[in-house]
Amino acid sequence: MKKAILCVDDEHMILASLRDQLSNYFGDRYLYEFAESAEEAWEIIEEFEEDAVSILIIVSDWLMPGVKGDEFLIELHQRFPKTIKVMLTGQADEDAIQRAEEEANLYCYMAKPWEKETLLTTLESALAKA
Amino acid sequence: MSFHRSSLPASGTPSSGHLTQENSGDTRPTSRKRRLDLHKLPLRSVLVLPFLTQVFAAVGLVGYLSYRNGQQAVTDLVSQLQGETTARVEQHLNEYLQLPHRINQINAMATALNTLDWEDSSALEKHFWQQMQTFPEVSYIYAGTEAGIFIGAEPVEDGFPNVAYADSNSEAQGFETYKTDGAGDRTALLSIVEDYALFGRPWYLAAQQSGKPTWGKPYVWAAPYATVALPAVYPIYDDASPSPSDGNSDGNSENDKGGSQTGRFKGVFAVDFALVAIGDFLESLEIGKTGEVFIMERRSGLLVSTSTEELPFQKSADGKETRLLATQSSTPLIRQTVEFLTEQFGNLDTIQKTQQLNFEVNGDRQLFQVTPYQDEFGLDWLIVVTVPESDFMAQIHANNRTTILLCLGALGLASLAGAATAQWIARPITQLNQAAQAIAQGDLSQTITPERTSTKEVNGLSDSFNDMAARLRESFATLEQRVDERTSELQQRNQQLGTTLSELRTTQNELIRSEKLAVLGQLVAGVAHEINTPLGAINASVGNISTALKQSFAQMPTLMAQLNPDERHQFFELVAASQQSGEVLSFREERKLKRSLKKQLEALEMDNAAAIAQDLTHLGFRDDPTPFLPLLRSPHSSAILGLARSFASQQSNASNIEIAIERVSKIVFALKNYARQEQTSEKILTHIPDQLNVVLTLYHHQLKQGIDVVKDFSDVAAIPCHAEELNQVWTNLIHNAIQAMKNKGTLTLSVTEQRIDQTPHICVRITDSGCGISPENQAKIFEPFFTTKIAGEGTGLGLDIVRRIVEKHDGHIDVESVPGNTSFSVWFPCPSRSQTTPPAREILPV
Repeated sequence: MKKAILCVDDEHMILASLRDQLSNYFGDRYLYEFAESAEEAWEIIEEFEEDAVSILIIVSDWLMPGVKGDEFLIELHQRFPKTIKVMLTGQADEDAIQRAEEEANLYCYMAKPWEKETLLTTLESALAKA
Repeated sequence: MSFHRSSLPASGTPSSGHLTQENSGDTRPTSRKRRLDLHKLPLRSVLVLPFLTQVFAAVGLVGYLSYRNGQQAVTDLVSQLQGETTARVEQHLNEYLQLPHRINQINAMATALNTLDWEDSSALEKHFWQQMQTFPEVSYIYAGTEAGIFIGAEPVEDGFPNVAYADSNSEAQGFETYKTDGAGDRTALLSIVEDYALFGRPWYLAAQQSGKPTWGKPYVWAAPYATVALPAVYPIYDDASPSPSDGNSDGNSENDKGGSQTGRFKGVFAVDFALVAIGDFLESLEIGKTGEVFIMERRSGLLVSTSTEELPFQKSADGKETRLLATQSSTPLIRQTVEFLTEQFGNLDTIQKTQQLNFEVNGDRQLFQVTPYQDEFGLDWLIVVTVPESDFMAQIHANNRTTILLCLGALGLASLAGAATAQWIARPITQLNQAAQAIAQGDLSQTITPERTSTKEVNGLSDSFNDMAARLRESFATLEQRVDERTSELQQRNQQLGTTLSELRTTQNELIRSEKLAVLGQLVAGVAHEINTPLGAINASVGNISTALKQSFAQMPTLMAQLNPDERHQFFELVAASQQSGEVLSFREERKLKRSLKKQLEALEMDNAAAIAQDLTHLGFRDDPTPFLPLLRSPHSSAILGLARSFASQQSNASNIEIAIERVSKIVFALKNYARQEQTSEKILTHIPDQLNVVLTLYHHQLKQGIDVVKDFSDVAAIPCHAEELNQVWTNLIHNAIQAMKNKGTLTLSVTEQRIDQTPHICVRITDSGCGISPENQAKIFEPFFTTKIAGEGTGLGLDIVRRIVEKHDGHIDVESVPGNTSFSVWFPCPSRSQTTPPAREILPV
């Protein structure tokens, strides 16, 4: 069964740079998918389910048009409690983070701009748990 | 009955539905009107009016009742009077009218007893002469014999009776009247009336025809003075032979009274009765003042006698006296009464018993009583007693006048007494009223000296009033003192307030500054995210480039050595094709591309088509993969694609950095623009649409979350302004709009040129689709410290400062709001376009 990492951010430039970071580091071990909104993320999740791909990690921005990161992660948690949720955002209010921690079992919150090593180490540790 | 009915309006007791209805229909509106009027009436009238009304009502009622009673009494009295009068008349008639017949009876009996010789005319003459002196009430005692001899006697005033003799057998047929002496002997011939035919006389014929004692037809007797004589006649019969003309003598009950009715008719005894005697008696009757009594024959309608001066006969044109019809009477009362009777009964025969009637003549009611009078000798008369009501009512009317006068007098007295009482009561009250009004107008020095004559209550009132005025004066004095104290306190407070105010001004300036900082701080927080995002991207991309560079250096020599020249050529073409891809695709588009590449590769029977498609997409390859099939099928394909990706990565990350830097510089520019010339105090020409764009840029991160921005900017002139202050205006308004919409909705910005009173204005309208502002809050939002946000979220100064800034620029701001559509409109006067030179516009990197 294939395993995937899904990144959600409304900024294309963030997703583009994440793609290279992830693929350079993890190579072919995982599938990588990128969504520019929570809505698009759900589309991809459904495709994954059809193709029997399991999502190991979701990295999500918080401040996005439409559905906010914490809301998205909480909803996701209800359907995929095992998936590891990471928030990567330029700014988020504390309540939102707290809510995500409590209701979406948020694994980690990272602020933009982020250190590549920190991100990758965090993901590694998370994947080790998964 | 009439008394009861007519007393109704006075007593006011409604007994019939009609009357009640009329009363209630009438009195209701008037009473309401009266009630209204009462409020305006002075005290005096209020005191006097009921007084007068009562007096008037009482006197009027008593007067009216006594009038009604009087009228009733008069009617009773008149009827009683008439009854009595009639009775007296009847009694007298009985007395008078029986006498002639008695005389006849005496003479007839004397004849029957042969004490009087019927054939001896001189004896008869002597007998009559004697009788005449015994019965002076009758006017003629006489007899007529079948032999044609007439013998009679008539009374003479202050002398012996005259005797008369007539012989129908003589040639002259003279009727001779002789004067007599004390012995009854003729002394002198007084007169001879020619052609006296005894057998043709009505009295003679009447007796002969009736065959029993009866009344002859009354006739006018001219000598010695004109009078109407009523003859009582008595036929004399010879005992031996029956009367040929007496057909109904058997059944006559008068048999015993009169002379013999059997045998041969011998002649007639007769006694004349002068109706004038009845007239004298009637005249002597006192019937009210002007009441009259008259007697008339029922059948013929001829007058018998009246209580008036009028005689019951008249002289006709030829000098002959004839009897008078009642309807021809010169006394109007008699005439009218008879006319009325005829009209009432038609035939007078129908009057069988006493009738009391009345009719009106010229508004005067005539009360009369008609009584039939009959006797055994065939008299058939009517006695009529008539009395004008006015005879008795005159007194009543006089009483009425007295009552009215008394009423008026009582009214006058009552008015005077009422006015005096009212004056007595009202004067102190008026005084009180005036004093109270004076006090109401501020004159507190009012006191009232109660008059000794005033009532106890009014005196009490005066005392209370004086007491009250004194207390008022006292409390006013206290009040003034207190006011002075308070005034000085207030002055102190004012000074304190002045100090506080200046302190407040300082605080306010600080608040304005802090509001500005708050807006800025909130902006900066947003901007931080906006900058952190591209910074993160740059950071990551730099690392990616570095990694890719290292990889390409490491992989390239080995791979180049492994590939043949064709493959090398193809490899570089692949790299070139990947780098040609101009625009950056979204990830959604990339996935679509990846799927189509995968299908193509599968169609070309490639192994692991998915992975190759993934790598090609990642490269940025978007062309037909067919030319590169040999390369992709080569055993080194993995290395080939890896190296190509390293190259592509360098390129894509570089462009990623470029995009990020653009983003950052845009934000920095906006910030710079927003805060520029903060220090200058001079106005500079500014394009408002540019300012709005800057603010929109700063709010980009918030707007993108779900707000559609619609911009409608006309090409308007630049206006001189303090740009940083206007930026504060736009920031505030847009920030409020975003909050009102809770980050979802449509934000419409429009800039237009509009004329207000011929002056061109720039109108900036910022409209949001948020929840709106309630009408009561719309008036308050520009007040300082007004906020609907929870404590700590806003100073409440935002819109106050906005308004101040706008007004400082000679503009004005207003708000229109309904749920779903709230517009803030800001107007600035703008100089005509020729006067302004457009400033060097910095092109925003949008």
